[in-house]
Amino acid sequence: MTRYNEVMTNRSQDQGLRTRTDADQRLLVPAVDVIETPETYVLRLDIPGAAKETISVKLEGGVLQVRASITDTARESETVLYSEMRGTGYEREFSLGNGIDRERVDAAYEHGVLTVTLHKSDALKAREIRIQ
Amino acid sequence: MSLVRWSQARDLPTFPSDVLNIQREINRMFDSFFRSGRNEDTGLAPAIWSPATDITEDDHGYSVKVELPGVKKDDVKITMENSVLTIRGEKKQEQGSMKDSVHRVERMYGTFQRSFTLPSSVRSEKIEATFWDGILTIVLPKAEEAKPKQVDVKVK
Repeated sequence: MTRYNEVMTNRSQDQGLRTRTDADQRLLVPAVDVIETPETYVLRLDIPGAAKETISVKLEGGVLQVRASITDTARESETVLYSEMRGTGYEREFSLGNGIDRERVDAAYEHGVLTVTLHKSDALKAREIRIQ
Repeated sequence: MSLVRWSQARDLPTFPSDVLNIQREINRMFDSFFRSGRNEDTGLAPAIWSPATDITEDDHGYSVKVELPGVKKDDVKITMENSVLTIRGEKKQEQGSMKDSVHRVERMYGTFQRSFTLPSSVRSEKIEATFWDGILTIVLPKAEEAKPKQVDVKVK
């Protein structure tokens, strides 16, 4: 039986939540829920404040990378009184093992949640075995 | 059975191949803790969390932004009482089928609440809120007399 951990590993950088600081970017690792259905793996990532046009979902060399930018930051005319939102963007990576169809990755964004659907390759799909 | 937030501790990987993973998870835990001041309970009680909030001020008023990804508009209630702005609501888990198995739950679910005391100069009847890309923005205009005024003084 193929275990989930063999199919997908979470591969974000090891520097903690603020993974990397490229130039002025402060990238957060978004929280993710992973749900397996008979045909798919569904990843739901919280990326509040990310503008839809900045979201990129890439699958390259067995690594799924999700990136997005937060564009709505305080204007110059505003004084920041209190601040807890620290990032300017999001990044998270997942290593995909065999068993995932790399040609079929769907993504949808709604209400600050990015849903990425990975389809299982035929070999991994659960089959019901009829009792004779 | 109530839903339990996923935690690395319950599913510890084998030493030593995943030492780096543990390190990363600890970093994540720390950072998410400081980031939104959420209550990390034992995992058995329903979590009550405090979503991350930013507050800014300009000449016209105050703006309160709250991170609420995946929360529906109808599940949020905003009240203003005696200069205390309260945002409360509930984030509900997406419906799944019986055939689904859940491998990882890092996102927060359950009820949340945050309150802020605002200056009395806020015109509470003019408060407006919008909800976009998982960010709730509440705009609280200042009363006219509280806005900065520029007065030209002529020197005789």
